[in-house]
Order: sequence, then structure tokens, then C-alpha cells
Amino acid sequence: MTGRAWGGPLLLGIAVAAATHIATVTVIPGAIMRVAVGRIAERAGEANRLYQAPRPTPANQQVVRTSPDLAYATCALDLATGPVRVTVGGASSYASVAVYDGTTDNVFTLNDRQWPTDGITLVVARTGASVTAAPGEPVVRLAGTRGVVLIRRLAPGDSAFARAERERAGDACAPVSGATR
Amino acid sequence: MTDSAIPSRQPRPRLRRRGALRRYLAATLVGLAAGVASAASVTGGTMGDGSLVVGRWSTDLAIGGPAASPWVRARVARVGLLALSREETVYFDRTTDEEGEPLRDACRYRLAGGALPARWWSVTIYGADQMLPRNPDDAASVDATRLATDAAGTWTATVSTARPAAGAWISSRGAGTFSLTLRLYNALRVDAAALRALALPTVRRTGCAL
Repeated sequence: MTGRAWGGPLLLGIAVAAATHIATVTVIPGAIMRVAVGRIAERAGEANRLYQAPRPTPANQQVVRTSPDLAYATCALDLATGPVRVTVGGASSYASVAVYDGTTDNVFTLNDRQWPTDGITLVVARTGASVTAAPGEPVVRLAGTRGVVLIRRLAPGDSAFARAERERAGDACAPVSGATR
Repeated sequence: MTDSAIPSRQPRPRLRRRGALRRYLAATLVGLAAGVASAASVTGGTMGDGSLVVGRWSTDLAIGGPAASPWVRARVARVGLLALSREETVYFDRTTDEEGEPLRDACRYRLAGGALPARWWSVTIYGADQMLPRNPDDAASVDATRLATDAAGTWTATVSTARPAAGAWISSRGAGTFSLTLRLYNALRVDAAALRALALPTVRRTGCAL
């Protein structure tokens, strides 16, 4: 009688556990990215503006597994109002620009060996949005309106970080003026 | 004498229904808790809880890429947000020494290796919370630009809570049970066979506090 009484609830419990597990795993990336985009925009003052972080230390680390050997610059993307242009200046050692979508996928990366010595610009736009890009300028498409641009520059140590700071002075992230959607 | 006059051992239907409802409610709550707990468990740990293992180091080649399963994507979001895909960077993690014992700040370790086939590489320490250990030592990593190699091309570093008399140092002060992450930027080859063949740094325990 007891076993029979718990048969149905047990099956329900297993089904609920499986459904909850899958739902939680599916929701985690988007939820964490939403928080990250919000924090990045807050530090920059607004979305679609570059925030150049100080040298990472245990006291100022903002996200998990930050490398203390890199100079990071971040831009929270809000493509609801149109495309965004990212500008990365030249680099004398490793540098890269990466674009992440709203589910944390690294959808685009380019490093200094793949761009001209004086740097590169790229445009990030929502899928289907009309974009006016310069000839040869990469256009990165995101399925949603939310994402993150992360610029890394190699900076192991104080002097290397000072050099990276000089080189990133012209880096920028801003809405494309006059863009049509 | 009617049947209703006979004392019954069976609960009345209303009580039976209430009991069944409680059992289904309890099963639903336990199911919800188990689902969340199991999701948290399988998406925690380190980024390298994947299939490719080299010695005590491990990585997941799907990190950052569109081929990542929902579980890999969720794990990376929790423990390695904004990681690059392997074409740009390969991340190897380890949580144990060469003997398989957990890395902890009560022990001292000798980290040793040779040149790695990448444009730049580094080894960084993280606490169990995936953050840099909270200490003022400014010694959370060693990297290819700052390590001296001997005639055989080998480099060494000490992982300990106190700065060694000489040589490169990763401070584990305040790290508790920790992990090490090896970053290979622009590795020359990123296919599984090439990565499995890498001679990655060793981590040998040289002593522990009582």
C-alpha cells in the first residue's frame, strides 16, 4: 500500500527534477550575462561606451577568473537603438577584440596579427539591421540586442600595463551615427 | 446491522485524497530542489571539467564556441565568463598536484615546465570561489614574458604562502583550496591530438604545514 501510494509522486518528482535541471542549465548563461552587461554598463556610465579597467588585482576584480596579466576594456552592447562601432588602436604585443552574445557565446574574435598595424574598427549590429560599414570593415551580427565587447591587451606587470594604457587611449565603443535600422 | 456500523480500518476518502495531495506536493518540492541542486553541481567546478585531459590538466574544447552544450555554456558562464574560443585561447585547469591531492594553501609546490607552443602563456591561481586570492602580494601568476629558463629551457616557480628566497613565485596566501589555470594564447595547434601531446607544467608538492 505504501509503495503504491508513493509510485505516482516518485515519478512526478523525477520528472520535475529533470525539467528543473534542464530549465536551470538553459537559463544560467542568459541570466549571468544580463547581470554582467548591467554591471559593465554601470561602470562605463551607460551602454555602448567603453570602460577601460585598471590593472586587475584581488581588490578590484569584477568577474571570475580575471587574468592579472591583461589590460581589459569592456563595452556593454545595447543594439536596440542601432549598430555600434568598436575602435581598437595598434598594439606592440598581443591584443584582441572579442564579441559575446547574450548567451555568452564568443561569436567573433580578431587579434592584432589579423588587423593593420594602426588598428581596426568593426561594427556590431543586430541580425537584419541595416548597417553602413566602411569598405573591409567587419560587421558582427548578434541575434539579440544584448552582448559584450571585450578588448584584451597583454600587460604582465606595471610597466607593460603602462604601455598598454598608452596604446589603448584611442580605443572606443559608440553608436554608429546616422545608422538606419 | 449495516456495514456502516462496522468500524473500518481504511481512512475515509477525503483523508486519503489529502494524504495523496501531500505526497505529490512533497515530491514536486523535492524534485524542484534536486533539479536546481544538480544543475548547480554539474555547472560548477572549473572550466576544464571537460573531456580533454593532459596529465592533471583538463580543458573543454567547446568553451566559447557555438558547439558548446548547454551544460558547458552554463559552466563557462559561472566559472569562466567571457572566455575566448580555443582558436584564440586554450584554457587548461587543474585542482590537484601530481599525486592527485587537492591543491591547498597549507602546502608548498614546485611548478615546472618548458616552452609551450603558443604566442603567449601564463599560469594563474584562483580560489575555490574562482577569484584571485585576496592578498596584497601582487603574485597571482607567472607568464612567458617574465620566467627565466635554464640551459635546458626549463623554468620553475614556487607556489606558496610566503615569498621564496629566490625565483618566480605564485602566492597562495588566503587561497584555501585552489586551482591553477594555464592560458595558451594563439596556440600553434588547437586540435585535440596536438593538445593531448603537449608537455604541460608539473606541480609537485614539496611540503605542508602541520
